[in-house]
Amino acid sequence: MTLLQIIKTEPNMVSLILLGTIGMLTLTIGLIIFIIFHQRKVLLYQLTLQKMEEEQQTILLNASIRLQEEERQRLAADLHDDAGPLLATARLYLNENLINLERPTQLEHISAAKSIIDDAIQLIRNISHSLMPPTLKNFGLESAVNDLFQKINGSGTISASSRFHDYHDRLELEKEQIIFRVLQELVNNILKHSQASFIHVTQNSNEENFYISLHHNGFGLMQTDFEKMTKSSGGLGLKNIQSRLKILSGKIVFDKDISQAYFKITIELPKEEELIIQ
Amino acid sequence: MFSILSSLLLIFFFLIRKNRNKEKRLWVIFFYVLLSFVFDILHSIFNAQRFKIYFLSLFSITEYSFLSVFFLMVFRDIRFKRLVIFCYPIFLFVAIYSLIYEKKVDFDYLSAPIEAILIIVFSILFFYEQLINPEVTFIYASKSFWIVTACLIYFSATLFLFISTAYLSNDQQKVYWPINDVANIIKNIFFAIAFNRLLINARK
Repeated sequence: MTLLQIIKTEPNMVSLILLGTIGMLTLTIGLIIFIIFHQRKVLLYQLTLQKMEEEQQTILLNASIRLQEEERQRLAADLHDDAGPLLATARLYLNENLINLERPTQLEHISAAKSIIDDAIQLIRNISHSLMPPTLKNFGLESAVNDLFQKINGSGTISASSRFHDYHDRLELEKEQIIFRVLQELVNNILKHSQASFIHVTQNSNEENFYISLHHNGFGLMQTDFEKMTKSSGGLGLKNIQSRLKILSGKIVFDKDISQAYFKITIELPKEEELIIQ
Repeated sequence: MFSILSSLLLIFFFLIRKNRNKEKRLWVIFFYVLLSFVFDILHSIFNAQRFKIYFLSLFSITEYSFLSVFFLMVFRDIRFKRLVIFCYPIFLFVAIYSLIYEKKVDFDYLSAPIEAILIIVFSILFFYEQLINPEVTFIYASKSFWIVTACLIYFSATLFLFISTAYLSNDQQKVYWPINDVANIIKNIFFAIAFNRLLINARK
């Protein structure tokens, strides 16, 4: 019996077998092709994401290096321009001729040199404090923030306050240092760009995360602006904030508060996260 | 004839490429091909009507057993492994039931389609698992992909044939059976591709 004879006698059976087989094969081949192409698409997407992440990392690293370099230059300038001349002047007062001078002049020179050395000590102390505030090291984040705000309030142009709700135990010093630097940078930006008349910092925490919120009534950034700036060539301070928070696996969100009247910056840090040493 | 020959060639090919195919799951497929070859030979020699149903049922059971072991080894998701284990006794029950009570026809019209449907389902689950959590960077670089593709194409191509065979006369069966032979050759070609591929380390 040939296929033609069967078609004549049993047309329905032929349709069932042939169409069923062709249909199943088409579906199978379609499925396999879909899987191959879908996987390639997913891989390409992952590669693009990876590339973007690498680019972002490079931007952050460059920002961090540039900032470090700027900090070094500032330090070098402070030491060279301020401490250097002070110590050189003190040396002039204390030269070899001092023993040949009369006693009152000697005393005068020693007193002048002492005063200059005191100035140099104060200067070096200021530099040291700007590098690592002693309040932060000795008394923790809350005291350091209050100390910073006290100095800002002293200017009389802006009112800064803070409220730490769940800060009973201190965090690791390295963590506190990073948070303080981020806060310093944010406050500095507000002072420079926002024309705000008040800043208020609130600290909260739950079982998993540690939160710090910063409210101000000036001109502020929204999350999209922040993301744009961290991806552009500018915004060095913001990139630095991002790279610092990355060390703590933290997040920062720029938005407005519920009333939409004030700008709000929220920092979220996981409590148990180990520091990523870079 | 060509179908039997393709199985024989595949057996030789596997033995030549033995160094590339040391994984247990590939040995399972090798024994499955070996078994198919032996069954095909025996089938062509002893094509007597009264043995045919026992013969085909026995082949379906052993074929399904080998492929179930293969899928058990390939699946990483415990739920899929459980499904394979769960389906095995059900299939065995159906195969033995049809062997005992459905002897009127000379084809295992119950167990063969059920086997085909189960293997198609396992193959789709394998692809799903590979999409969610790929074993290798490119799916077609894996030996398992080619083996599963072979099974999927073979059972998709023969499913409707298996469903309808019981309603066909012997003459009609002879006309349609080349579908099975062609599908078997395609399956063996895909197995050969799998055996020929270099072993690649699974992604951790």
